[in-house]
Amino acid sequence: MWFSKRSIAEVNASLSRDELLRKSRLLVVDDERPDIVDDLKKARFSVDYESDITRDNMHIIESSYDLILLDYGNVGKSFGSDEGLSLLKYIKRINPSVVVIAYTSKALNSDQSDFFRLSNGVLNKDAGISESLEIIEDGLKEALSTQNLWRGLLTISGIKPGSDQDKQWQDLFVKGLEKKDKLHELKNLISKNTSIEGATKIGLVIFEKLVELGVSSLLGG
Amino acid sequence: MSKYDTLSKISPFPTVNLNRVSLPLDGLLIEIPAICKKLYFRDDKCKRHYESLSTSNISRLLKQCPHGFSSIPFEINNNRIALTGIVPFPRLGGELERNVAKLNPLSKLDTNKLYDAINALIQLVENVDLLENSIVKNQAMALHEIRKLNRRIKQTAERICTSQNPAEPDLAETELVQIWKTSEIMSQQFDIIEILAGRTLTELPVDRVIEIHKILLKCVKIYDPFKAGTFKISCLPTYHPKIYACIKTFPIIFTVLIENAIKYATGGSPTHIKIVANGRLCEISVSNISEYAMIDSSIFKRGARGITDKDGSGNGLYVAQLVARQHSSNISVETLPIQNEKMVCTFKVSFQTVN
Repeated sequence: MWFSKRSIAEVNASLSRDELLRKSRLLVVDDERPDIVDDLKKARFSVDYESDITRDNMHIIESSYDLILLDYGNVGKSFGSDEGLSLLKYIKRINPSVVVIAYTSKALNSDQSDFFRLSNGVLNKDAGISESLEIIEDGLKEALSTQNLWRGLLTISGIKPGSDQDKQWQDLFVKGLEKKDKLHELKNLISKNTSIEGATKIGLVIFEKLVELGVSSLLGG
Repeated sequence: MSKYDTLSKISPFPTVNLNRVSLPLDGLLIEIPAICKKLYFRDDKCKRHYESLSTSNISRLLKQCPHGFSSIPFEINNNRIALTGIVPFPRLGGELERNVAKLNPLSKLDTNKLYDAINALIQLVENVDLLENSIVKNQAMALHEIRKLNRRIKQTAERICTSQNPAEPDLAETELVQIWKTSEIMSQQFDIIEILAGRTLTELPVDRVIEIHKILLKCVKIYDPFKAGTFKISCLPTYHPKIYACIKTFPIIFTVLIENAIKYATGGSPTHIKIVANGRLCEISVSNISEYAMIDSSIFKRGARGITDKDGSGNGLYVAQLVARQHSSNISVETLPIQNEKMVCTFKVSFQTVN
């Protein structure tokens, strides 16, 4: 028993709606500012809007957004000819823990339909407001789940899920929620494992979110 | 439409698709010789002749078939096609060719004119393609713009209804709720049009876990916002099946079945919706009482209609079936005659549930 490794599955964190609204941040990327931005603000979501992500403002992807509502047309042209799809691929590469919801009512052809396949969810622009808010709230729950964040941390650190290193990190994390030195050890490992500056920053942002969730779980949240 | 489909419709001469060899199709001016229709199925000589043209790298070179006619292969992009049933001049030679020339004077053709005809056909097919692509693109743009306008109506109506009655927006001012729900129905119709315009939506993966109840109740709410008793839903209260679905297309199945049931129900009779478990399958049936008509699986064909004096394009069930197949299922229909020339019409569909 003394030597048994702890698992991330022990961290059973489920945020209340108020906590979810308080802790989460979302970004809407659409060439035309959609009314849903105001609906989200009215419903107390913390939301920012950008008409596009380009090479000049791409650093915002490294920020602590949990969910991105992403349009297809007229966005992401800096990243490739597939517009929103090219941007989606970039976001997933840079910050794999961000939940991206495909937000379009455009008829996409078979080449472009990877936009729906590679996203975490689909929200039709035609959807009703309450339905849209429900889908976005579900997306945020997914984004701020320990499973999603841990998966993102592993991806950005280049660690294979289920590997010995994964198990070692899980053990450090769960034990670290009770003994701070273990968390420091894990933080150092994350910094060492992600050699690229941007990746280290994102790895540490994910780590902070995991710690917050873990603490909330310990407190019975 | 494939390049061969287009070319075969406008070619004056018989054509054969060398990418998928089968009996040649008649040309607009010259039909395939009667003897060809007979000989093609007698043995595999004709088929082998065309297959040799399909595998050869040589283009635009006349080759005589085993029965004396000639064929000339050519390409449009990667589509390999041949004009066939021709007797060329100057002749390729041989007794068989002399015989078919005597019997088929209309099939005789100057070889130079044949090359001109091929060039003209290729040009025409390419122009038709350009035109088709431009129409599809423009239609998609037009549909997108109409969807945007409808979205504005729908969401504005929902906002006003919610501000009037935040707890139960469906019970806001009747006319407003009607505007809201009608625009929701329009959104569903746009999805159907999109699938009819190009079936790529039904090629999307079925990879999201959804609760059937939620989708079904949403559809019911659209068609009966005032709970006027249009629907009788029966399901065990503890049974809440989840399935893998494509979130963009799955609701179409319910909206089409429900809309059809309402449209054809007689005398304000309700639509019965049943959800039952059958092992790992979740079976859904939508029934109504309507005027008797012969309805069988042919109702799922494109443009098929049950009772023709009702509005409708006959495309709804066709699209619903495409979506059901996308979800590895199939919609079936049963009719049970009852008194006074009425029938109970039941559409059934089932899905594999997930834990």
